[in-house]
Amino acid sequence: MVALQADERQLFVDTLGRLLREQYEFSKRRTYLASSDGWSRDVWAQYAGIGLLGLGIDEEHGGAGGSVSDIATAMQELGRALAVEPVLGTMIAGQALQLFGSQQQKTDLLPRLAAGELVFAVALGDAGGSGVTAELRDGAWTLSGTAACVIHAASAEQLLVAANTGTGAALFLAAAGANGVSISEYAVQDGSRASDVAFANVAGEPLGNVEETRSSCDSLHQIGAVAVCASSIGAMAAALDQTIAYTKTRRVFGKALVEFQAVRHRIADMYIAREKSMSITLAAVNALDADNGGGAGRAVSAAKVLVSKNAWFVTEQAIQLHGGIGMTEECAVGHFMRRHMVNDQLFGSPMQHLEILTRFEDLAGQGVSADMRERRRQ
Amino acid sequence: MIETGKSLDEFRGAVRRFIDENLPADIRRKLQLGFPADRDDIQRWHQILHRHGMSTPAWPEEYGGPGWTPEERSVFYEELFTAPAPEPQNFNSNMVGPLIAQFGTDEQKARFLPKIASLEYWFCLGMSEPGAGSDLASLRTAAILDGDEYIVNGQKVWTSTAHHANWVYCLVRTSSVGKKQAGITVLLIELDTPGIEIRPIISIDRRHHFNEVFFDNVRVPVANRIGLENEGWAYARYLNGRERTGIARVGLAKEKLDFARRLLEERRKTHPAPFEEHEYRKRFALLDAELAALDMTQLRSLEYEASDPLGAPVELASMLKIGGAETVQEASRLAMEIAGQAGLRIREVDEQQMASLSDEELAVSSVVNGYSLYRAVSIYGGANEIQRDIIARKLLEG
Repeated sequence: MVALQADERQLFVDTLGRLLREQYEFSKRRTYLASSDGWSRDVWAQYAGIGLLGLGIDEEHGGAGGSVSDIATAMQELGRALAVEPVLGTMIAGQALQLFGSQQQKTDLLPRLAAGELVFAVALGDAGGSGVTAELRDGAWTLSGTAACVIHAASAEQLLVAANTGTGAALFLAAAGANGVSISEYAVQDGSRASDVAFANVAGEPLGNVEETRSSCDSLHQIGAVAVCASSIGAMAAALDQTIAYTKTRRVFGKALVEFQAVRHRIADMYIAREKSMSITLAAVNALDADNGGGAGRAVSAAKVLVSKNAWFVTEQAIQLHGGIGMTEECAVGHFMRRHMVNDQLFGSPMQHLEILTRFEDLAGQGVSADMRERRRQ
Repeated sequence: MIETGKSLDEFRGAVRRFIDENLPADIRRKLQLGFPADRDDIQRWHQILHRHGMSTPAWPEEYGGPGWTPEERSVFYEELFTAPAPEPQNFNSNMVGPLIAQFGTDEQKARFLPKIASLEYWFCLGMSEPGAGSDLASLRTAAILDGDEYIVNGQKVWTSTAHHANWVYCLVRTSSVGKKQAGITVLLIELDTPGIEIRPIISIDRRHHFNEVFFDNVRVPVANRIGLENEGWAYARYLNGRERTGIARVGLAKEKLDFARRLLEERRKTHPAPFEEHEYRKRFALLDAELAALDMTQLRSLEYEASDPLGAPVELASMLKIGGAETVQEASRLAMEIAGQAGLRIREVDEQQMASLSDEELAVSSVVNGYSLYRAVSIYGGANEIQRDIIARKLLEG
């Protein structure tokens, strides 16, 4: 998939940003969380209306075009606003269908997905698997096992599952309401809903050709990983902006907080953390869009590891610089930390990604930065 | 009551035995699994300690203190944190009680000290205001003298346990002439006095620890003023100084590190991951070394108490506060990382679940709350930035 043109992307970002500023004022967010869905169907319809859900999907199938970098850009805006709609799962599923689905699956599902008519939740697990196995019996696949912490599973019509077939992981579609699916929903730390999804011999439809989807699980993990990195970057950016606004106005000992050098330097460090996170995520996104195979995996893991610690730093320091008020449930500032806390554990923990990076070291590779230099030479 | 005069090791052993024999099992289990002690837990344990003459370790013997050395007091607290057990109610035992013992009249000592020791009076601290946190001297809650009463108007914030307490130690402004510090007075105010409203503040661990306290024409007898009018800043500094050294809480960070170690042990049974285990054990080792250094720093600071009426140098106290905060934050972060995705689920545990869920499930359910709550330790009691200022000022300006 080809990235949007620069002016198209800018227009999209401006439109999405405006929508979120109008619809995601912090007290409105609280009402969405308190609703029975835990998110706003009205806002969801507006996302569909501006083409958000069609990002990364070709126009032939009702999409807006665009590549992983456009998905990442959108996730960053959603992270800024701390949006809680099931966008991530739906967009990842959209990528799965676009890249690996059969023609029939694409025709049946993509236009409805892009139009906001189908909510998807993804149970892809991590490098260690999803907890779900798939068995072929009499020509039909069935799924068994339990996938933990599936974001927005209870709101989804369709589930995309990475299941172990015995010879590796493959992607399957299952109807959330199918026989044998049981969903127990709870809230996670940023207020979003998630579920443990138990499968008891549930009918599963392989995505495209099951032989070919083995490497696609890795690709989707990577797309998911950069998506949550982008979301944390948005949260970091908003946390920094709020901190700058607060420290300019809060006065102690006769001066605004920003007049204290310790505070100024901390803010500078928060800026560095944010920019570094954006750079490494951009490197990963470029590697994915260039279809770089192993190189993309390394860049993605580097992004996960660096964004993890930098976003913890920014979101924690945002609380610290707000003082007591940063410790309250009511103040938005603590919620940026919570969003990152959730992102941090999706599509592989930082520790898992550090291990991946170490394995690349073991292979006497030259690392992510060498990859980037190589790519620029081409 | 555990007597002074043994070797420190014997003293420690006696404290440990006392705790083993007297700490209610449900309180120990709750704290071991990472949950905070509630009002009832704190009250129960404080009263057990009180019955054995150990609820006021820092008080002079003439007011019921056990006559322990500073080192023995430190061991006592360390053993409480390690058990784990709640401390004696800290505002009573370590701050307001010693303040009254030091600066109160005989009448005030007789009226307050026994009830503070027993927790019949539960004190909270009315200090910070929305416009006066780090810059406490900017406080504006006003007290105007009317005959033999002060009339108090204003607002306090971040008042921890005001919803459990029946008394508040309150810093009020009695003069706006001259320097800010020169117009502050200490009043002890009964919380059921007409005109007082307490509103809960929910923290980012989703729990209720802090409050706003509003004063609307609240009448306080002059007999409840500690020391002289307009001399309150010196008393406040005395009390805050006691808060600072108490806050090192090395034992707390050690217990949290042990919690993280136990959690890793449990997790590797179901989710073995050699690479991660090795990485975590390196971090445990580093944190353990930091705690050993902090422990010794605390012991060194106690040596001053024996010979110097002012106690440890203020820069050493600030170092302890910073170190205590950073180590407990690192320990709580480790536990949260180890719990991983399982810790993301919000699980408010009721009594039935305390009995039915496994220890691992319970521990995992508390890690994010613990991590979130401990973000406050670098903010309250004098933010870490202020502590660094104190150190720098002392070193550079003397």
